[in-house]
This record gives sequence, C-alpha cells and structure tokens, in this order.
Amino acid sequence: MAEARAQPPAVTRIRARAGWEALNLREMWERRELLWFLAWRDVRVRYKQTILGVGWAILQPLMQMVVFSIVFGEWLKVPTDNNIPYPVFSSTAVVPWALFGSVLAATATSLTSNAGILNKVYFPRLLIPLAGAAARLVDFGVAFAILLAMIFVFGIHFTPAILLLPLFLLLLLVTALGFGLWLGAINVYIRDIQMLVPFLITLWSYASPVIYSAQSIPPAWRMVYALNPMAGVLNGFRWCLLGTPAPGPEIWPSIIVAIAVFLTGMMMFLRVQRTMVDIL
Amino acid sequence: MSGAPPAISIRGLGKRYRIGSYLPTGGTLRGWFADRLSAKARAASAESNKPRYIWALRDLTLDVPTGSVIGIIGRNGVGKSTLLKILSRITDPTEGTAELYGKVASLLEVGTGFHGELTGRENIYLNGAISGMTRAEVDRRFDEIVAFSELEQFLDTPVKRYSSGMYVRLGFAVAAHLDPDILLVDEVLAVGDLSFQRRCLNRMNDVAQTGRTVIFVSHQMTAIRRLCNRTIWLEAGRIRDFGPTGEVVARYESESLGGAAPGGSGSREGAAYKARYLSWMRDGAPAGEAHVLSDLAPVAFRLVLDVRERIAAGYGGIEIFDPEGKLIWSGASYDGGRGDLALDPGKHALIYSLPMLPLKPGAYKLHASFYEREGRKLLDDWWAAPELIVSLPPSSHPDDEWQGILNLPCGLRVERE
Ligand SMILES: Nc1ncnc2c1ncn2[C@@H]1O[C@H](COP(=O)(O)OP(=O)(O)OP(=O)(O)O)[C@@H](O)[C@H]1O
Ligand SMILES: [Mg+2]
Repeated sequence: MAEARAQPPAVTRIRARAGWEALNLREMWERRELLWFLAWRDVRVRYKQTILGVGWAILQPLMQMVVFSIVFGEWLKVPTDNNIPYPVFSSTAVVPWALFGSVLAATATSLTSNAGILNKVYFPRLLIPLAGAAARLVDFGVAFAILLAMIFVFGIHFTPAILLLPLFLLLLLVTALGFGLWLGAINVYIRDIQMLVPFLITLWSYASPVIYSAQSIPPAWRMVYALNPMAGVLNGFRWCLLGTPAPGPEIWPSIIVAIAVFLTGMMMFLRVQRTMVDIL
Repeated sequence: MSGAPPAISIRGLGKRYRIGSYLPTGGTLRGWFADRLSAKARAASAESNKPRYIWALRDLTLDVPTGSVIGIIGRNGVGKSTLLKILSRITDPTEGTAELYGKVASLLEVGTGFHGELTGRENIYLNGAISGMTRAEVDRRFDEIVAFSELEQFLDTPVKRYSSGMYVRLGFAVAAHLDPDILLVDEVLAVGDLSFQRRCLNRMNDVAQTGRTVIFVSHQMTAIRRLCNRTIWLEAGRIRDFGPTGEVVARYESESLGGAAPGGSGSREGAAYKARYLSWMRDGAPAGEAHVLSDLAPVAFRLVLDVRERIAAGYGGIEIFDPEGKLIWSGASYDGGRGDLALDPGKHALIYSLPMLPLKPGAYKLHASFYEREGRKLLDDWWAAPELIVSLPPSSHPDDEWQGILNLPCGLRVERE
C-alpha cells in the first residue's frame, strides 16, 4: 500500500461526457471481480429458499421439451432435418432459446431493478447487465448438460462441427445483450418496456426455428427470415450438435444484424448511463 | 495547509435537474397514445410537461487540499448529496469539471448492495466488491471488519434478520476498511446507537489523521465540529460560506435558529438621539476575527457609543444570550462600585473585560443598553450585530459534549493521601 501511495495518484476527471467516452474498458477489467460477485449474488438469491434450487434451471426447459415433443412431435408430426427424433431436435433449440430469453429479459430490466445500487455507488455500469447475463449462463450450463446427455441417449454422433458451438453461443449472447441493452436503456425512461418484454420473447420464439425446422421456410423468404439473428444461432446449434445441414450464406444477415444491434445498443446504454440515476 | 497539493479541484461545477416528468406524456405509452389520439390530451400534457428545471448545484469552484477534512452543511435540498454524487461519478454534471487525485471511495449509504437473503459474511464480500475492494483485500481485512462490527455471532445469519442498527454496523464496518485517498461521506450515521456513532466518528477521525482527504456531509453539527477543519455552507446550490468550521457552523446555526439578520452595524446614525451604540468588536482581536472568540484568554468587548449631548451621569449594561436565547451573563458599567459615567459629546468606546469566556461553540447574541441616571431614562437598547461567534474547540468529555453549559478543559493531579 505504501508503495502504491508513492506513485503519482490516479486522476479522476469529471465532466459531462459524450457517448463513447463513457466506455472505459480498462476500468471494467480492473473491476472484473465485481462482475463475478454480482452474478454470484443473482444466482444465489434466486435459488435461496427454493426447494429445487438449480433444479428450476432445468425444470422449465424440460417441461417445454416434454410438451413440445408430445404436441408437435407426436401429434402434429412437425418434420425435422435428417429425420432426427423430434424431442432431441426441438430440445437443441429450446435450451439456447431459454438462455436467450432470460438474458434478454434480465438485461432489459437490469438497470431499473438495480436502481438502489446504481444510485449510491459508482462502478462501471455495464457490469450490471453483463452480470445479469453471466448469472443466466449457470442455468444454461445445467440445462446444456442434460441436453448433451439426451443427444447421447438418442444415439446421435457428434461431428467436428461441435467445436464451433462457442461461436454460436457468442452470437446468441451478442444478440441478447444487444437487444437487451436497447430495451434496458429505453426502459429507464419508459417503464412500459418491461411489461412488453415477456410478450416480445414469446412472439419472437415463433419467428425463430425453435419448434420447427428452418428448412420449412419457403426458400424465397429465407434471407428475410435470416435477418432474425436467432435463426442463425439456432440453426448453428443444430448443426454443431446434431449434424444437420450447415448454415449457408443466410448466416451473414444474422451476424450483421446481431453486431449492428449490439453496437447501437451499447451506444444507447453508454449515453443513458451518464445521468440515468437522475431518473431511476 | 493551503500549501498542500489539491486532492480535489472543482471548477464551475453545476447540475441541472429536470423536475416533473422526464418525457413528454409522463413516460408511459398510454400517455403517448393519448397524445396521438386527442388534441385535448395533447394540450393538457404540453402544459403539464413544460420542461421545468432546477439547478441543484451551480458555479461551484473549490480546491480541497490533500489531507483536509471538509464539512458540508446546509438545509434540506440545497445540493449536498448532489455534489457528492457528482464527485463519486454516480451522475455526470451538467457543466463544469472536477478532478480528484487518488483512489476515491464514497459512502452515500451504508450497506449499498446488501441483500437481505444473503448472510452477513456474504454481504461483506459483496458490499466490499461493490465499494471497490478486491476479494483479496476483503480476505485480508475480514477479521478487522468483523471485529469492528461486533457481529461475530451473526455472520451466518441472513441480513434480513438483522436489526436496522446491526445492518448499519455491518455496512459501516466494511466502509471503514476501504482505505481510499479520498473519502466522500453523506449523512449516514444518523442511525446506529450512540456508542457506535462515536466509534464511526473516531474511525473517520483516524482516516483524516493519516493524511486522507475527507468530505463529510452532515446535519449533525457536533459531528461536523469534531471532524472537520473547514466547512462549506451550501445554499440553493451555491457556496454561501466557506471557512474555519467553528465560525461557519456558528453562523449557520445562528441563522437556522432564527437569529437576528446578519450584516454589519448598519445605519444607526440616522435620526435624532442623545446617545446610541454604533458598533462593537472584540478589543485587541486579530484582523478578521473581530467578532469571533477562539481561545480561553481574557476577552474584552469594545462597544462604540455615540454621544450627541453631554450626559452628566449615565450607565450602560451588557448581556450575552446563548443560541437558544437564554441569558448567560450580564454586567453593568457601575458594577464593582465603579459609579456612573460622565460623557461629553463624541464617540466613546466602552470596554467590558472578562477574565475568560468558556462557552460552547455557537453564535451568541450581545445586547447592550444605555441609561441616563436622572429618571432612569433609556437612551439606547441595542441587539448588537453581528453576533459573537464562539469557535472554541469543545473540551467537555466527548460523551457529553453538547450537554452542560461551560466549555472548560479540566486538569487532574493524583496525590497520595
Ligand atoms: N434525480 C433528481 N431529479 C430531480 N431533482 C432532483 C433529483 N435529485 C435531487 N434533486 C433536487 O435537487 C436538489 C438538491 O438535492 P440534494 O439531494 O442534493 O439535497 P441535499 O442537500 O442532499 O438535501 P438533504 O439535506 O435533504 O439530504 C433538491 O431540490 C432536489 O429536489
Ligand atoms: Mg442529501
């Protein structure tokens, strides 16, 4: 500590900042432990006093899998790619979709639900939505383990494509955070957003290949459909885990939209964060 | 002290808040739709949503030397918390700049981020991380933190089962071990029992003693007097007064207790009169301290009396009232068998001297009168302005600092009997 004091002190400059100036990656790196603590708090608080604890993380997708398998797989006979059994086909999308939905919802409401802290102490504000997202990864990890077991039980062989799965996971997170930051920033001013989010997620899931295969989309519409980044993500998951046909050029609209939304969402967030506590 | 390099340097800082709704239409979609659909709703909301602004802070320029402890006082809503929020980067200012040199920690609330479901132990780590400590730092100081909070038995109890005092203890214990170069503290000690408050103040005093810079907002003048070398009095977002704590606090107290209007000895020379007091000062006071008492040495009050017509036999009286308006001392010119005064026209100084005036800090009112012996006719009756500001350091036992009347240091000898 003594040596630290001998150095010229760190200077904090305060003034009305413009948008990007508020992004201080170095400071975020210095405070990375806080990201961990905030995520840990989220997970811990969510499951404390529940009987099932982390069990809840799998119960919801599990019930979805069962219902989907019966309704869409058995009764409606929704076709799958490569004749993969429907339960495992839909589960491969249900699990990442659950992650997407929860990260999106958590990010969109993270600022308002943490108003108490944001109002009283400074730390890089971006850590709040990031921690919310990180906490949901725990649930995802558990559900994903079950999914892998299921794929194994159904006798599907993994292909080398599985090595690319992290890229699609990244695309998923970028999409969820991008839209979440947008909604979260607006939600500071207009609280109607948080009412809208659950509904939005449900609608969006119908527009994404969760319960059906993206192959069912008429070819003329595929490029438009691919503007939905989650179409790219879910196709990618199926390709990496189930060996369905690799995503073609339709992956590019997904990636471009995801990155564009992420960057603009970030910009919105940085703009809003400078004085958002005045309204929170 | 002013030679020390600044720890904080503030230039023209201002913060404007928008009051009322931030968005047109009150920030809900319903309002937004109503506006689109009906001209009447639109007109109504345009009226009620005219942007109204207030400057919570304006034109603040200030240098805080390293190692000083600055108090900030002022009525509710004058911008004290706003200033700390800007300095701790919670919100951006609207104009102006500030620079802070060194590691900054702020304590605007005790136990920020505490979660009721988590145990004391877990919350120590969480709150530490939120306030800027690394995990390793918390590990290292964990035992000290727990010892300071005196909550060993409750470490594994969820914080929601704590009493509010225990909650504050735990929060302050973490904050007390932050180890910053600059510490910003808002009114946080109001809760918590007296002995804990005292320990917190002592702890902040220790922090101040080791050369850190502290900015301390409080409504408790006792605490401000104890801790701060210099104090800022904020009013409507601007600095009303900035100077040595004793004086600023005394002036503030005198005004908030509804004291006489401040200001010099104005135009008492107008109308016709036989004799009238014009002004007063402490006899032999150093420059700038003419109305301030800051030591326990002999004191003399020098009252200037303007006599227009010769007074063959007259006498004067003087009284001192404490901040609550209670008479604490009075004297007269004829005391001790001095007899009456004979005064020719012209200005005279009546100098009342006392061996010492052991008063508690505060603003005291002087009252002076002058009578003619014949018919005991009152010639002048004057509430002296300005008031007497007593800024002696408090020397009673800290527990009873604001009880009691006298402010005297006590000596002690122990002898074998
Ligand atoms: N987020 C906000 N939006 C609008 N006005 C605000 C906001 N925060 C504070 N104000 C206004 O700014 C002014 C200064 O508030 P501030 O909290 O700094 O006062 P204070 O000096 O700390 O008062 P107190 O002694 O009561 O704590 C007040 O008039 C308050 O109403
Ligand atoms: Mg305040």
